[in-house]
Amino acid sequence: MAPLEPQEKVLVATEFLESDHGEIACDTCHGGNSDVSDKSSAHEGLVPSPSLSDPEGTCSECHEEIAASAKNSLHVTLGPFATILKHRADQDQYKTIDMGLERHCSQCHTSCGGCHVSRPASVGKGFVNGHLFKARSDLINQCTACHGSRIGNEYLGKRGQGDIHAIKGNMVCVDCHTAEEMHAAAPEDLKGRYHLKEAVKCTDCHKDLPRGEIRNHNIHIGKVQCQVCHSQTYTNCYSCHTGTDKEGLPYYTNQKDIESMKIGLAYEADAPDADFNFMLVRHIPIDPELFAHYEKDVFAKFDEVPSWKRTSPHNIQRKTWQTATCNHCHGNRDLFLSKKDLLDYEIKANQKVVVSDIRVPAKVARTAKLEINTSGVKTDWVVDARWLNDNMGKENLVILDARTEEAYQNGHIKGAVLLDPMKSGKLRWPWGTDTPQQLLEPEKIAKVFGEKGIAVEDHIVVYDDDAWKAAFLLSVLDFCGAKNISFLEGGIDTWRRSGYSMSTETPVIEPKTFEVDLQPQFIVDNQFVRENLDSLDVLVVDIRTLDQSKKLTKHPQALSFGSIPGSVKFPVYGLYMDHAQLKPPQELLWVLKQRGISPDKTVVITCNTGAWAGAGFFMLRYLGYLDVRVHDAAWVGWEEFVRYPGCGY
Amino acid sequence: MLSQIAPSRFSISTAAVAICISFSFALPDLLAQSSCVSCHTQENMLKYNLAPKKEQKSAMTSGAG
Repeated sequence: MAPLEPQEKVLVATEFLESDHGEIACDTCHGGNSDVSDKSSAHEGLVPSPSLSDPEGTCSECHEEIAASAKNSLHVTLGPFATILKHRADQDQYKTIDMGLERHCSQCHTSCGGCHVSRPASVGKGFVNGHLFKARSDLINQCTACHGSRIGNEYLGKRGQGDIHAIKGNMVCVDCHTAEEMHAAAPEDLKGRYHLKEAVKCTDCHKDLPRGEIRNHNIHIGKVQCQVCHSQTYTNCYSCHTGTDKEGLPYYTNQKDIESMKIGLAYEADAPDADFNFMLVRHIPIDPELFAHYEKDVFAKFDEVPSWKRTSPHNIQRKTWQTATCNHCHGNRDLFLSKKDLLDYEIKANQKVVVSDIRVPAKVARTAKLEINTSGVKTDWVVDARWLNDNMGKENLVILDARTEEAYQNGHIKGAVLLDPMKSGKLRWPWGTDTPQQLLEPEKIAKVFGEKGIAVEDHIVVYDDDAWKAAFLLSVLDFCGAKNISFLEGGIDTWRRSGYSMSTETPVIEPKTFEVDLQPQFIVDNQFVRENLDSLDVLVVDIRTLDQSKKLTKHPQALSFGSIPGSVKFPVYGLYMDHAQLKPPQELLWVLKQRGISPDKTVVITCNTGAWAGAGFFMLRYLGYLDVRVHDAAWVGWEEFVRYPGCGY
Repeated sequence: MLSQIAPSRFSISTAAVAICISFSFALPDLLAQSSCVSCHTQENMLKYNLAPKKEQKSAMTSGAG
């Protein structure tokens, strides 16, 4: 999230002055000196966040009961952090841990104002609505400004397809996490957030599940946490380390993160709704060396608490790969946490979470058979790091690095040629032109390809660090007629981790002639989209993240919030996993079918500027879809087209 | 008739008390408010007076969960 401009951060709206809070003098809460007119004197003694430093002297003047409770809420105290770390340490070690906790981890805690009037420090602070107090916190500017890297990304389709509560229900955080939960005072010795008795439960809304019509609910309730069946893959973080930089400022960093899913044994039966045997578990970023920057070996009792903990991913779907058929879970050993998933230092800590072979539910003999036709999958369009390493140096093999120049200079696959498809003016028209970010004329693109040493008949392998840039470049190559193209699964991350050769040297490029064999049917214009909005044979898929397609945010270059009427919302990150990993084709085909994106239709993919659409196009072509098209003008072009018909779009 | 429309001693003293209350509570509030908002509602003035600050690095690099 981009920080606000300095003036935006402190600009007070007239609506605020007309509100109840606007009747209170500024200095009543914020101090300072309102009798003087020069800036520095007026701001002397100013308290920017009064509810943080003195909640009882400010908010509780009117909201006495809430303020008294909220000052002990989890958002303010972060209580379980300390409770759990205390379990891992001896009392005399805890001083170091407490200091580390305060310097690194407790920076996130919030206050009344942090949820009701301003943005949190992590995104640069500033008023959300001109200092207007809102009872319901803002999903974008407040909740996910802190809870962004996991929960926000999962919920809004920045990892996975997004959450059905957002897609179908247009629900925001506070629709589930109500004031009762948010303001609840947490007991000092609360074991974890799931132990808070006011914490939201799925069954608060979905009340009739045990007596409902869905047979699988009757079978699994009381045994399996809801999320086990209804979540998508999520991020697991490993090895958090703290330290201070050259300027002495504290930081923390995670060594590794992996998008995956694991089922573990439920070990906290005393949590209010933990009436199940199996639950989803997430690796938390704890590490014995977490505070080693300050003191070695501070976790004398590291094994007391598991490092794989209960999780509730915010990427719920009614139908998931787990619900497709019984044996996606039953008998699927890899889905259940095993000893081989554990690092050396955490084996003992996770004994009670690990699912032994005997506890893995047995395969079901009679179950629904999935009919997924994978015969059309272009298997040679995806290669892995081992294949590429084995085939390095072969004639006509060209490796393209689709990352930024900076990333390329810091280290790339040996022999790879840099071609950043996002660089303005390279393959697409720059901003400020009549058709910004749409593809240049094919001849110009062919010239760029030729200069990079690519011929149309070469085997072109493209990689990046998060999949979609490489996939977009592959879609352009496909459009221009390249037949032998491949995506490097796992991208640079897997290549590096596999220990294959990296380089910082720029290879000498021998220019070639790229003979374009244009596939014009791959791209459609606004007119085509408009003419087919009501067509049963044409499906427009909006592949943007849900914050944009659900009108909570917009692309910086877009004039307005919105989406093409009738478009199916399916974020691009539902097709690509973190670090350019891919799900199996049969899973992707099944998921797409559940969302109505079936191969028997003409699928038109749209986004903001055409790049994500290109990435989606490549994936569907790889999966064997016969008629996929890119809406190159995308939302930025569409809104202009709708406003000013005939303007060149 | 005149006695009916002329303010009584009671109403005069009520008005006086009301003015006193206004001065001791609401009016200073309004004055304090107007002093602050005279700047904080003027976007151009704020833009002119506030140079972009170098964002201080923070331990919060990737956001919580």
